[in-house]
Amino acid sequence: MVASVDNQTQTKVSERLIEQLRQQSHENFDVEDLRVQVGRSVVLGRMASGEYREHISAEQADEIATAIQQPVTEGADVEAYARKLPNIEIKSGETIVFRQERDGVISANVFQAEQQSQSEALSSNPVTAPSEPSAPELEGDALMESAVRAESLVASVREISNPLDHEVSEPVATRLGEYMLQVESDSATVLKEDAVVLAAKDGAIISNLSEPDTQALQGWLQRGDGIFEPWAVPIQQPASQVSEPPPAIAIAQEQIAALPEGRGKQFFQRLSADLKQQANEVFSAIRQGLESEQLGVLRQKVGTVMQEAPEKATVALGRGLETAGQWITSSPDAIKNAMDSLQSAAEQTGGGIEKSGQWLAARPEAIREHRAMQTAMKLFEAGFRRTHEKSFEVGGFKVEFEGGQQLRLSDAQSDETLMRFQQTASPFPGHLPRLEVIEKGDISREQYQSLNAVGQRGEPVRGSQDAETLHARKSEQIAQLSKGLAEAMGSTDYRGKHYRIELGEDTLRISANDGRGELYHREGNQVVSNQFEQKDFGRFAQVIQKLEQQQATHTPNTQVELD
Amino acid sequence: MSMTTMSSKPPDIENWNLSQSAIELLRRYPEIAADLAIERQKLPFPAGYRPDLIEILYEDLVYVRSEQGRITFLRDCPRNYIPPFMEIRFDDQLAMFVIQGEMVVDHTEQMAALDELLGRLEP
Repeated sequence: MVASVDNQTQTKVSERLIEQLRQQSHENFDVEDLRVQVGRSVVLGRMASGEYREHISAEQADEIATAIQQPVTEGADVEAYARKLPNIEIKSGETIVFRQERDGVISANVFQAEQQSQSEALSSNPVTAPSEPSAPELEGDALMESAVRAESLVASVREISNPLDHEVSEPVATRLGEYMLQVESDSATVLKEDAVVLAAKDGAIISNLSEPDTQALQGWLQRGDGIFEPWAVPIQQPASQVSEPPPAIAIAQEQIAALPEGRGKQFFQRLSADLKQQANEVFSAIRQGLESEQLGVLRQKVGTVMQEAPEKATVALGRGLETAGQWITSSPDAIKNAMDSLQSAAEQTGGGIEKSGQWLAARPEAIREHRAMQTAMKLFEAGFRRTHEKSFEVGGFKVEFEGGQQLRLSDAQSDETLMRFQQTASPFPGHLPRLEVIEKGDISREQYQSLNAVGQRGEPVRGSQDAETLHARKSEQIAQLSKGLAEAMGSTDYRGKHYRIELGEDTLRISANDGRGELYHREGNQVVSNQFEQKDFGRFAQVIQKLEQQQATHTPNTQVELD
Repeated sequence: MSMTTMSSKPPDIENWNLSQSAIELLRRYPEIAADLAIERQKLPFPAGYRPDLIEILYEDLVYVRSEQGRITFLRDCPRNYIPPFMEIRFDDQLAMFVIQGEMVVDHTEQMAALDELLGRLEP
């Protein structure tokens, strides 16, 4: 149910604000000329269409009244915000008299008199986008470097679109900023405003990216990847008793709770829980800072704020948590300053630190872990199918079965455990089984990448020496048998129910009909490839048995199907 | 580029599967409706995306900012404030827009699907 405001109340709110603005500015604002914009919308003032808007809410009016008390933020790069939506913008005619950006920076404020000249410079001339430099002519090494970058971008596009490297049966189309990403099993494309700027298909890459676009795209793609260094809060006292989040976050949680059930809702619930914890840490730290010896450091860092609003600061010191919260909101930098000072103080005194509210931050690592488990599982299964053993080494890694559904992934050389994990059935019927980390060692990014590469190479996972010797012997048996059978049929291309045998002059090729393709290839005496699995040995063993039975009972040479 | 260009034809909000009160709210805020009409056409974020900047906005004002896992801005408000609409932005892109429990735009479907697969959505 949307809260509705009656016209009288609305007018009062608008009038009150206009009066406040008038008083603050010492000028007579022509009310007709005034336009107040909050975010996207004009909430007060005359529209181009002639309509006079009076949408402004009491909350918004309150915020504006508070915001105009703040001076222009020192060192603010006004140009950087030119094309962005403001938090609040007040215009008198064509002149911007007040502007607060979304990140809290005040970029214009005539109500703080000495900043008058700066605000005049901000009169709203239409901002033309700087013309995009055309892709420069590249030569030699620069071309090579550009090609490498394009390749790396394509890899990142694939990775951010399909992080677990699953089979892409349908195109995956997504968007980051101005760029649209499209990934299919054999191609990847990046579009900007409907024009293809990067395309890769079957190994060939075409890049139409300008340097600014390359950097912008790189910036976006890296956001699937980077490591946050969350604030570390000094632990000096038992964990803060605060369970009630700040109102803004509590309200968000309420709004999210009202959503229909589903994973969208769950996602935002986890996200808001993150924010609640992060806010908790801020308040906890501020309170500890206020109550501890580090107060001196804190005072130094947030000196300006305390000078400007000593009353608030005193109250904060006296009353602690809640008021500190209000004090924080009046100056965005105060939080950063306070936390940084506390963190460095904690590090200096060797105090313990705790981190929380990092569910979102943990995404990239969770993805890397899952891929590693997936790959380790895949390698183990490939090895197991081949020799039915419990431990395999491939590409510098070792994967061992430890019982139950538990596997251990380790460095083959040092035997250092990288990860211990297990596979469990998913709670959702029809879904892939769940992979859960039980124990995790120190895995570097290089090791993750190396493991991925091993998984993608698809080379056979060999077992122990003894197992391989046995494997070779059984394979030889099958080769002989197959050759004999095909020759008995008088065929150089025998197609049975499960296998296909191709005989060349000096070559032998055995393939499976179940989608695995070529299993065995011999040229002369040289075995070129051998992917036989234990189940193949089982099947051929049955065939051998049948043949032996036939021989024993002297039955005529009937066609023996290679079942 | 987040400036809204007003097209001459108003967006087709009647066909957005919203309640009557939500539709009325959007009629009162045509700039927002126009922006949402564009946003609804946009593709979702890629599954592997992890934003640096999270913002929560009520009535188009930023109330919460979290940058790289840290709260950097919190606006105070009365605990009983009921915003008529809420927006969450990732790196200055619209991630979701909700009107009193009705989701109007949600660009996080691929991310949420991945988190579900990874078992990260369980409490």
